[in-house]
Formats: sequence, C-alpha cells, structure tokens
Amino acid sequence: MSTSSSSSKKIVLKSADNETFEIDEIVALESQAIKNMIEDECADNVIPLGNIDSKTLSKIIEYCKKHAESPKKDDNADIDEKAVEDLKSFDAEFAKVDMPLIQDILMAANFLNIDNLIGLMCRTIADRIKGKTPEEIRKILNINKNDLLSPEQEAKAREENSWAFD
Amino acid sequence: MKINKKSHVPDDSSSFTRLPDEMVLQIICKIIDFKTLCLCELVSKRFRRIVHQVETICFTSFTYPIAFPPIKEVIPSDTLASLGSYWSAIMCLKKFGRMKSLRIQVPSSFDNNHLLFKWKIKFGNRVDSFIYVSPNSVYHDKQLYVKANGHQEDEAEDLETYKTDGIAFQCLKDVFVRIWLLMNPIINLPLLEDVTITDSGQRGKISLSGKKVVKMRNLIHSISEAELNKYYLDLPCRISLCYVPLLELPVSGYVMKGVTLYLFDKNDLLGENIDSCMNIDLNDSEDTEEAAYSEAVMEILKKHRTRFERFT
Repeated sequence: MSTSSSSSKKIVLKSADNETFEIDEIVALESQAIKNMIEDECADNVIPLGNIDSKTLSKIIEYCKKHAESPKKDDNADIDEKAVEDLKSFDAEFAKVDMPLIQDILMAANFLNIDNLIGLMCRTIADRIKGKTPEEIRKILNINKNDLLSPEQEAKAREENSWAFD
Repeated sequence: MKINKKSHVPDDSSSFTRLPDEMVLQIICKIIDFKTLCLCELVSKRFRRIVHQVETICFTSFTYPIAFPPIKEVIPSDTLASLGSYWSAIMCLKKFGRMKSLRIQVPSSFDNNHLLFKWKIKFGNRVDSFIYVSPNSVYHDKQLYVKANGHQEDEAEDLETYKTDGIAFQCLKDVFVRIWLLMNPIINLPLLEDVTITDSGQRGKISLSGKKVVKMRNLIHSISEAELNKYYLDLPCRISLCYVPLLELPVSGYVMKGVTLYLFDKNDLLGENIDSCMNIDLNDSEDTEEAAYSEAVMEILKKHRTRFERFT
C-alpha cells in the first residue's frame, strides 16, 4: 500500500444527520469498504453514510485515527512493545461506553468493514455478558420481548442445563 | 451454517435486534466460557439458534469427576444425575457439534498447594513418558535467589537426595484419569481437533491435537472398552530419579533449589539422543512459569544425566 504520496489527501464523510467529517485518506483506509471505494475511484466527492449517525461516526473516526497512526504489525516484525501496549490501553478506554453505543459502533464497523473494530466490540460485549445469568444478559443487551423462549421451552432448557445454575 | 440476513427492521426495536446474525455469532464465539454459553441458550430464541455454532469452548469444572461411566454407551438421563455435575456438563457439550477446540479445567486433586511440583507427559499414541519435577524452592530471577540465600553456594544441600513422597505416583494416576476424560468429548464431537485437560493448580496438562485426536477417535470406535483400557492404561514403568541441588536456568532466568525429578518411561529415554526423546517446545508453554519448568526438565536431561538413578 503506497501511502507516502497520498497521505495528505482528504476524504469527506457525511453522517445520517448530515454532519460532514473531513479526514486524512490514510485514516479512511482503515475501513476496507472505503478503501475499496477509493481504489475504484468512486470516492472523489463526499461519501454519504446514511445509516451512521454523527455520534457513532466520530467515535469510529477517533478509533481509525489512532490505529492509522500506530505502526502496523506487517510493516515491521519487531515493533516496539510500548506501541502495542499503548494501542491496547487505547482500545480498553475506547470500549468504555454504554451498550447502545457499542452496538451502534459494531453495526457501523460491520458496514464499513473495519475488522479490528468489529473484533474489539464483539469482545467487549462478550466480556460484559460472561458469567451473567440469562435474565442479566437479556437486560444488558436489551433483548426484544418477542424473541423470548416460551415458558415450556425455557423450563426444558433450564432442566438440560441445570448444572450451569449451581 | 444457518445465517439469516436480516435487513432493516422497524425502528422501535433495540439495536441488538438490528445486529445481523453473523455479528451475534462473532460475539458468542468470544464468550468461550462453557457455563455462560449454556446459559445463553435461555436468553432468547435467536441466541438458542446461534449458540451451538461456536467452535471454541473452555469448561471450568468446580467438581472433580467422581464417576467414570462407560465411554461408548449412552448414559440414560435418570442415571446421569447420580454421576455428578461434571458429567451433566459433559453431556451438554454434545450439543455444540461444530466445536473444534476444547479446554477442560478440573480442580486440582492436591490440597498441598505449598509444594511446587509440576508434571509433563510425552504423548505419542499413548503416554510414552511421564516427568515429575519438584523443586524445594523457586526464584524468578537470580537476584531473588541471592537475596534469600546469600552469596555463598550452599554445598551442604548436595548431601540431600530426592524426595520420595508418593506425589509423583498420584500425579501419574491423574494422567490416566484425564486420558479417560478426553475420550468422551473426542468420540462425541466429530469436528474436535484440539483438546486439553488441565487443573486449577496448573500442575500439568494433557493436550491432544490433529492426528492424535483422530487416532484416538478411531481407536475408541474400533476396539472394545477393555482393550481401550489395556491400550491407554499401559504405564510407562521404568522409573529413574534424579536430584539436582541448584539449577540456574539461562533462558527464563529462574533459579530452582533442591530439584527432584522422576522420569517414568517406556523406552530407554536416558540412553537415547536427548533431542529426539524429549521434544519439549519451550515456546509452547502458556506462561513463564510453565516455560521455566520445561526448561528445568531439558536442563536436567541434558546436563545432569549422570545424577540419574534407575529405580525399577
């Protein structure tokens, strides 16, 4: 990937609520979807992101900026441990947001195809439900009531998994 | 894989409902913890539909398996309860038919946690050798050792010899219990490629992967339970012992004092070329302490071979 000549090039993203964000192309390249658009030369003007609101989009840009700045693993086999640690603690801080925003970021990261961010959000959600009861998990994730098991199904599943309630 | 692509759902639904199934699967795949995964079955219809597709599970059992039901027979549900919660959980594993990697942790069968022993096995098609290492004390680096012992080399300890406290034999028994425990998941989970049984005290683990899993699966299918017993419970019965008063380990930096090593083998390990007999991959260890113990074993086998005494 040649970034030296194009590093100053700007990309403009527009959120669902019509806010525009001007970012360096190198930051935008963190998104595989935008990268494909740039390669196909259909990113000349503003890129409209009709399903991502400005709150979510600004979080995603914050993430991409940090990750674009950090040395990539495949660029240099022995990147210093400090940079790795720094990125780890950034990710940990980044994930300290409420569940609706995490889910919005995950949706958007999936749409924009940002692998690392998808992984981070999935891990964060998994960590929050680990060791919790089914009732707690429903509450944490705000599970739709229409999707609950019938009382018979629930009783059967409870019996089958009784060891897990000890 | 049954993935339903859900496009846009009305706005009144929660954001979780809008997440596509493949994202929900990615989340569930990162749970790993078996107990939570079983409870996920109760969370919602969607969870129940997706949860059994996970490929990696870690099961931490807080009870030691007390019974050993037959490997090949289906256990009736009314007797299952009497076998204790370990087996109830193992029966739930079957539902996760796509599982590729499984790790089981059982409680340590020793209460004497002040002792510093660990064991290792070399598993070819069965247990080829069993090694038990028990240092009197372990220091994470030379400085800590000097701080605790002063600068003078403690020659007096040279007189001490190996301890014969019987724990090595108990550990060997654990090894065979664990081989037995491996069989149920291996036969019931056809896609399983990688399985490990360890204990809460990190005393030792048995890991099988790839061809060895396939080989065990085929063997369980092809021979009777009695033959299986005979095959896998064939002990490495040549016992050698060795005592090293002081062991300084260059790679990990650890220092171990008063190290007893038991070697149970089938073939004459000590007579062979050391590289071919004890291929302990130091990078394979999960933590620095485990790596240090592996290094200690290699170091003793390489440099202290003359200290070994044949026991049987």
